[in-house]
Amino acid sequence: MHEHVNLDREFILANKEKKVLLVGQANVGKSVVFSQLTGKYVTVSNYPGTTVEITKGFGEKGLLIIDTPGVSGVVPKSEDERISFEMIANASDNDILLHVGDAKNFKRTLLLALTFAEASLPMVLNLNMIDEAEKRGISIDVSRLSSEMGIPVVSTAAISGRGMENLKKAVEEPSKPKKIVNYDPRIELAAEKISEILKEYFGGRSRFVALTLLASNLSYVDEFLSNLDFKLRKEIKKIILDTQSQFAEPLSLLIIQSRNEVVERLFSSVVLMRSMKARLAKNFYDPSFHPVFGYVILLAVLYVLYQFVGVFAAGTVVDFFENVLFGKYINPFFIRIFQLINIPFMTDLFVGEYGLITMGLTYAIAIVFPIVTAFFLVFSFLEDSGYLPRLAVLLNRTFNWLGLNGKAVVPLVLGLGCGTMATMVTRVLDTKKERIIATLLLALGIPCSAQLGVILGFFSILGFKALIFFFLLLGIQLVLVGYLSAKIIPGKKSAFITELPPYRFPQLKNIFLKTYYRGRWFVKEAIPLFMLGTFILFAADKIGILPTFNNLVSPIVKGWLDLPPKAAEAFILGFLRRDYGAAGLYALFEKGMMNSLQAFVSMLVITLFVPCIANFMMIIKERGLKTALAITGFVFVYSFLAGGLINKILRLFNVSF
Amino acid sequence: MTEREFKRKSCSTENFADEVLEEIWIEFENNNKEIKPGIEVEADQVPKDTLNDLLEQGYIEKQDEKLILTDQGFERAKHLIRSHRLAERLLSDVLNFSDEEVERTACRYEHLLTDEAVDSVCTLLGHPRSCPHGKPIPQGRCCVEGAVKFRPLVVSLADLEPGEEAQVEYIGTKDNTRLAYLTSFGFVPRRTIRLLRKRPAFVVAVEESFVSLDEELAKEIFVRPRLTQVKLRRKKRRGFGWGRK
Repeated sequence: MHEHVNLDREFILANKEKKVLLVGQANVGKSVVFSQLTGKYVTVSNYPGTTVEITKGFGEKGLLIIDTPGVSGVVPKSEDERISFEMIANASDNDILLHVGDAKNFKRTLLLALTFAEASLPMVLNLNMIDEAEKRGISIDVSRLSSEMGIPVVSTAAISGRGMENLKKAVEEPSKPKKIVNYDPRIELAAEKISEILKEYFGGRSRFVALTLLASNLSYVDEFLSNLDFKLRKEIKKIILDTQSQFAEPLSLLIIQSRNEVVERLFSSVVLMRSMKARLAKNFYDPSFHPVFGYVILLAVLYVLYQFVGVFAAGTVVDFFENVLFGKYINPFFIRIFQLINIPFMTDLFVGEYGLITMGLTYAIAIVFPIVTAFFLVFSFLEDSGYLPRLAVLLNRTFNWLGLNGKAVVPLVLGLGCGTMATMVTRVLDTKKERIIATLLLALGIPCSAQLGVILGFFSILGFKALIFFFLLLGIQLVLVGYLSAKIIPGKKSAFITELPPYRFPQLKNIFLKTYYRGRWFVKEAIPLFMLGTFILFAADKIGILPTFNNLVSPIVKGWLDLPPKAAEAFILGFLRRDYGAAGLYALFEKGMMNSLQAFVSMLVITLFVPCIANFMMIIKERGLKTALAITGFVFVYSFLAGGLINKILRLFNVSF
Repeated sequence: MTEREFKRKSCSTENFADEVLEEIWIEFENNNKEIKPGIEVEADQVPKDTLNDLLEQGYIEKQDEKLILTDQGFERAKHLIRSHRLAERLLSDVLNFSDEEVERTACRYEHLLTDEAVDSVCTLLGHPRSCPHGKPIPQGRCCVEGAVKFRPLVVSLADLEPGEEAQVEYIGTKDNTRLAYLTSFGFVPRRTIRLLRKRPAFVVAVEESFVSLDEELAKEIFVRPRLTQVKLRRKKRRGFGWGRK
């Protein structure tokens, strides 16, 4: 057994267990294959990054199967792709590589297959979505391909189960691929030299690692081999530089070209097209790209979101959960129990004003959970339909202003559902700068669905015009902050490229399962933090800190924001629970302690205010403590500053709603 | 090398000086040494007869006991290598000559072409960076200026019109991550693609999928448009419509 590098990734298992690694691009049905093989379903989606977490399952004969993040090219270009490459690099000799690919995009699939083949592992090539290929008049001589490559090749349409039996059989009898790619002898030599150095770390995978490094930027070499001795890394980099200097073209291109020659050869001998003339699509009409209609569609989508999440979920469902389920049954039940136990401290802790059950659990399950779940339902529908990449294209230019590109659509839209999850998803963005800007915008001004519920409730009183004005103000500020941070934060913007999958009517089963997984994540990750937040409030109340905080903050709240001092408490609560902060303000407004202008300002400030505790924790996890504190600090100051400024300006012009 | 070896290698019976300069350049390239005016030339790289020629024409000068490549010598060598390799590209890519024929013919071109002629060929080919053997082509002024005087044979994807089909020639960026990005979506040399639209972003048909990318990336992809009849909408014709019907 050879030593392994990069062992500190949680999801690399103990090496002894034989496993099947599912590799391939995103959006080729890899997750569907996984679920078919393991009997356990996994999130399926149309754009890179959703299957960020590594999923494991067991096949029929107890074989461990691992689904890896989608890989798009011969060299990893994002963090989750790097994870996949690392997993292959660290695989042991009897692990099996199952490459799932899109049958109709044969050349693209084969280029990847030849890349994986360099790992010299027992391998199976699965040409999935064969039905789509057939519909286009493409037929593939699978047995010929299999003999050319030296590995079993199985075509499937996993979603209907077609071909899955053959695939399962093939996985039991994989074979090592033949060496059919010929590189330039100088590159071959370099690969051998680097392999030699890495042999004791990666064993049979050294060649794969060597070729990957030769095709990568030097910075990646440092990253990938970070656990390796510095001298060895230097030696490897020297070999790479020396090799590169002998060519005018980048090594990655040359390596790809060598592989491509084989791809072209295989294509011509194995693929038959109904009409042999090159028949690339001649046009691309899509209403979502229309300069006017595209935005109309977007507004329609937002309206549906609003109706389903805001009105139905936030209104009807939450009402039921909060007032009936918890109000009439659960809370009273527990109150009675604690009265019986009769320990005042416990009573307070669980069912008091800041009680874990009466406040924490009620809030999390009765209020936030239904809203977030409803959002996930709609979002999953959008994902599966193929709309999201088109939205990304539509908004790409606008996002460029913010130092982002269309890819940011996913995390930012998710932010309307749950900021914590959205912050996690910022992983899909390519550069650090973009990840920071997206995280900042999420923390600053993208209200999560729980908050939106309260905001909409608020504005149902203040009026529709006020609502529009509110969102306009918010939007402008987001653009401004984004624009400025793009200027200030060093780094490049990444280029935007995405595939536009065909519009597909989503399968309901998919949607429900995706929502289930996301909902389950939420329960596991976010709810405990809400409970923690409640507990902190409880403690603060018991110790008597709350009034002190109030007094500290109230001069600003009163003088600068012109709001009643009680509002300060709501802001503090806003950190621990976004929604509660907003609800607190709503309560003040209802009781007549704030007029409509104050209400407007308070809404603005609470929206801009620091991220909720769950989100804050996630930012620390994703961006690091320093960045998290910097962002939170900035947002804290900014929200008061901007809120106060807007407040003063509105007063100056005597605006009322 | 000996005088005889040398004469055998060269294709021209007259311009030995030129040949020697080229050999010098290639030697330096092979040894990964930077070529610039003022570098020392090994005595055995220059056959005795030709040495006088080179000294006379001012391509090489003697400093102390050493032979030094002059500014003129550098420029001349650069021009020769550039012409030779561009000619190779022209013959092999456009005129589809066999490797042998390319060898024989390209060798003559370099002595015939003027600077301007070379620049024109370079522009025509879209300022290629390397010859068919992978050796770098020294840049000329036209490359620096990114000259597009008439529509070159090879253009960037950004310069195509919607509806045009083209074959990918090469990718402009040298950044490996970007390259990986682009190639993973199917933008590899010799792949045929079709540009479908430019707004709100570029949409390209590649194999059986549609890929969308922004202009920045589109500028990095260099393609050779199919010389077929194409319906061009509201297009401003630039210079000749080379090969267009």
